[in-house]
Amino acid sequence: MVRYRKKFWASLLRSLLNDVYLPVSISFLLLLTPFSCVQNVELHLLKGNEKVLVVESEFNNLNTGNYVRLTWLRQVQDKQVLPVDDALIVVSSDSGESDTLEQGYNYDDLFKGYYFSNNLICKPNRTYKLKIDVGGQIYEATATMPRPPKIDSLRLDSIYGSSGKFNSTLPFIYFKEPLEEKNYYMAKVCYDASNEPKNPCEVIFPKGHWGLLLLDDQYLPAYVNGINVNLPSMPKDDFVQNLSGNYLAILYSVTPECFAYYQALLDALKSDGGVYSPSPANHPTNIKSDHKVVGFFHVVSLDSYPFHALSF
Amino acid sequence: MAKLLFVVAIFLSFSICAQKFNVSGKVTDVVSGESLANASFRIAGLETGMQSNGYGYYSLSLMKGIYQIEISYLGYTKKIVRVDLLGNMKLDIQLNPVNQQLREIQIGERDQVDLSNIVLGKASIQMSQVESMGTMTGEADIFQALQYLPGIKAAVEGNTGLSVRGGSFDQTLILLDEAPVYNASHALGFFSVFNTDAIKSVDIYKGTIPAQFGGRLSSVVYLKMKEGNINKLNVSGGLGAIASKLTIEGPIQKEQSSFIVSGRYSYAGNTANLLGKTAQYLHIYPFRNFTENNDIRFYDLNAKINWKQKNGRDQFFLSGYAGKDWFKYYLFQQGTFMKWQNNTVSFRWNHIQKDNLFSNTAAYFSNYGYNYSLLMDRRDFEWKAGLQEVGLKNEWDYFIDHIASLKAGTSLTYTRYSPGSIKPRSDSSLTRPFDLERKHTLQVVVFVGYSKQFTKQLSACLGVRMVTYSLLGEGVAYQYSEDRKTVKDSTHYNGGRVINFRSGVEPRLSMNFTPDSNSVFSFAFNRSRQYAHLLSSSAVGLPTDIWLPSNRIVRPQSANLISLGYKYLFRHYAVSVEGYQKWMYGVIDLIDNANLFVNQYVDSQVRSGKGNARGLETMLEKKTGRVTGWVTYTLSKTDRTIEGVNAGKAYPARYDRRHSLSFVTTFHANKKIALSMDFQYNSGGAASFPIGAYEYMGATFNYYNSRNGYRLPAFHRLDLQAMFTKTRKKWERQFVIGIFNVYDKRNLFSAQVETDTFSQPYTLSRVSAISLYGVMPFFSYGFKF
Repeated sequence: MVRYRKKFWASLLRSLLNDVYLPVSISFLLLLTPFSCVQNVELHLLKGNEKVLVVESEFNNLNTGNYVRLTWLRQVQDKQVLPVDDALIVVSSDSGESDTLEQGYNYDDLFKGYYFSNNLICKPNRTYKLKIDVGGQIYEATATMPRPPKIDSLRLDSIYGSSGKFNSTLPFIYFKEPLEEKNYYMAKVCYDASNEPKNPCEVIFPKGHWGLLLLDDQYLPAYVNGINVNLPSMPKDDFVQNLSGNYLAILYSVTPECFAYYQALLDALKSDGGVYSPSPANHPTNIKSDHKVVGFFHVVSLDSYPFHALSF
Repeated sequence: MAKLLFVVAIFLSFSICAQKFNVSGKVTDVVSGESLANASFRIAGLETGMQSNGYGYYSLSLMKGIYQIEISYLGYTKKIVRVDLLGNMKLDIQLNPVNQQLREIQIGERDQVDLSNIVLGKASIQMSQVESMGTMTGEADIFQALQYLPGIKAAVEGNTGLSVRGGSFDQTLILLDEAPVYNASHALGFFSVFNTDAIKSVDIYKGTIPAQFGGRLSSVVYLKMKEGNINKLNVSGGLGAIASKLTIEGPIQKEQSSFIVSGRYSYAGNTANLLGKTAQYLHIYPFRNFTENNDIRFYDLNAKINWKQKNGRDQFFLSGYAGKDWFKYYLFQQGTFMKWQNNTVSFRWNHIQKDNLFSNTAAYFSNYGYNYSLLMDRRDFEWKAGLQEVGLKNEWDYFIDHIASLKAGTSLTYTRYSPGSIKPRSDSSLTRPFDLERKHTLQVVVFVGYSKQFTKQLSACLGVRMVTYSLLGEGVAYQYSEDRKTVKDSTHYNGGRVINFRSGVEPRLSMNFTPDSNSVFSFAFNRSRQYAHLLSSSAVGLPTDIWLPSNRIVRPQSANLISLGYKYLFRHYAVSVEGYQKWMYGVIDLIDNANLFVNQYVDSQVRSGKGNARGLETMLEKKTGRVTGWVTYTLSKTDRTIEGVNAGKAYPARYDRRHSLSFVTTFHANKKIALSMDFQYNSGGAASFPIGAYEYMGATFNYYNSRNGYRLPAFHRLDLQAMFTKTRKKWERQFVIGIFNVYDKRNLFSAQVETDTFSQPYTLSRVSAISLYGVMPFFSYGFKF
């Protein structure tokens, strides 16, 4: 039996090696393989002419640059941002305070469309109402500011890329999570620059930082014993930014609607168009109008923790 | 009572007057002893036909006399047996397979199809055909081969998910030796889980679905594992760039019991790492971000034993399948690792009660599970989910006479759905363990099907399937607000209590009219219902998709299908045309931005509505001779109208493709060489594409005005393959070499408009339309002794 087995394997090996087809095929494979890789294909895009208002905003308990930005929807591959000028924006609270936002004019053309709140002091547990009037078209939204979270402490750690390509500082934050109430959190890191306005991150920043960590307390323990908040600045990227200088680790407490909105935005940034991800769609909004609108009226509370990162 | 006795007496007197005898037995392959299901029988002079049942058993009830019975089966030499019927007799039929060497002899013969027994919308594909068709990796794939048949398309190009006649990929029931397989894909759909070396036959029902099958809306793919060569020990195997396999089969007790064990292991990750690293070394641009340590592996193992009693009346089969995948790839969901596995076990007992009464009793267990791990993160959790199904079936075939048969049976199915649990992977994990409640369902099915050849020209098959479905406790039924955004109320049900009960009747009818021996007109009506819904957040289906049983909120899906067909045989060819219209009700789709991840209220993310599918399928086929193959063209349309999705307006399904053309051909040059050429064309599927863009907090996002409102470019591809066979005294070697996508067509795999992080001074939109492959060579090496 053993002899038979030996004979069989020897014969199989001989046949494999001597077979004229095998070397031919391997050379053939090596010759053609470089041509068979992932490639981009040209596609023609749809053109729409819908007038859709885009509302970007953030109102928080720091009150250092609460703002609304208004732009119009543009063609998919247009390079021009279309800011909305001369809009009337009023934000009022359930405690009777009200503020008409002032347009910021001191920025580059590309970053126009910002309106700032200078008089309203936003506080947790209060409900705020946004009213936008653009040439007689009215857009309204209501949101309640959640209770602010509290970062107990912060620990710095570091990461080295597996192939030595990148490395960075990782800030781990520690905070209590009251299990008896439903909470949604968002966390991120931003550069602690002296630029104005800050909210607490720079409001007008050409490249957004989308290294957002979203946390539903459904899975969190009573004490979050250190969680890294320095994530890749774009969800599709695989490397985290190399921190160097003064930064803020920020923990937001957000409403369920806001959580769902940011989840949808992050999913959109991760989407592959629907092959292995959901069919792309417009994101939910809390802004009501008879006219088409996208965006969100964000009313959040936050706590920030400063830290200094040394360059690698 | 007297009246009843009178009727019985009259009935018996007829029976006595019409004294008939049975000739019965089993049809098997003479070489391997494998049973041959649905072999055709024709009795000379009577011009009527019958078929053996799904296990190769037949019974013909005839008057005393001398008959010439012609038995035919595709791929086998026709046999004519002379029977002198004086009493009941047992006659086992052994057919000779037509191998490549003898194929030329068949040139004079016509397609061996018994037109009166044709099942409208049924297609079968032989494993030899599957093996002669090119694939991207050189690994023969049953599901990719099925996509060359009319009305069957890939859910996404290059993938194994099937969209049959406008249905989604979850609307196809996949049965392996009676047991359902819930996720039939390896490596995220690039391979199907079925190893061609272990599979004996595959049938797909897309029109008339026999009454014994149900539970899915669009089609049934019925795969049978080989039983194992009952006459001699065989070893076969193959080596490929992606996977290698080995099969051992043979008798345990000669002519009484046999076994087969077949295994396949894929090292696709190693190949990808090697090629990626080489491409990176050569500075090939698309691989600039290639990251090593990809882990793409899978195995599947099929095993089966069968044992036949000496009296030939009982036969037992025990078969099992186990398959597992490991998946981590740098282009797909960074920082995650997935594992998933399918296991099935089936036990079957075939019993010949009487010569004309055959029973099959089966018990099966099917398990599907997956793990999804979040790596390199303090949350460091593992998400685990799956389902288990246990079923019992009892089916009876009653061969009434040589023109009529009855099939009836019952089944009981219990399914346990485990939608998900999260557990920390380490002590330092920040994740709190969490479990979603399990769901339990029980289905009881009774079915009956009756086939009869009424006249020489007209035959019909009538079936009905009655299903009761219960969603059982322990569980919670939620009531939602009208927009389903908030939970209004909930009711807790204790274990065993019925949370939701449904029942339905599914009539099935098919009729064949054969005006002459060359042509047949067919009509079919089919109603089907589907009680389990796959909530998939992708077009191709991911291992992490969620099966949701029907409940108070999500009702069962149902479909009525009408189809008309015509088939004509001339010389060595068969030409067929089939038209169909399908109305679907309760079909589901997800709302925009649906959240399926460990969501207790997952039914709130789904909406139900109507669907419509219609099409015309044509096929020209040649199954005999040196050149074999087929050409098909399909014209089809499918759409959905669902309240809460696309503003309630009708929208095309993603796999809606207007035109499909395929061409499959094999040229058997001589005993040693077979050359194949396959071509496929599909007009572009539908996708959601933006009509505008906007900037939000420094990133660019898209604005859509409809779901699937954009048409992707057409897909087409030509593959060539050469198969060299060398036969020596005791063993045979087979070497396959081919080119996939010969003319380097960059077919689209995914397309989207995304934020371009490299644009200045702020982000812009960028069209990302990815083609996975260009021209690609493949090879594999097989042996058999």
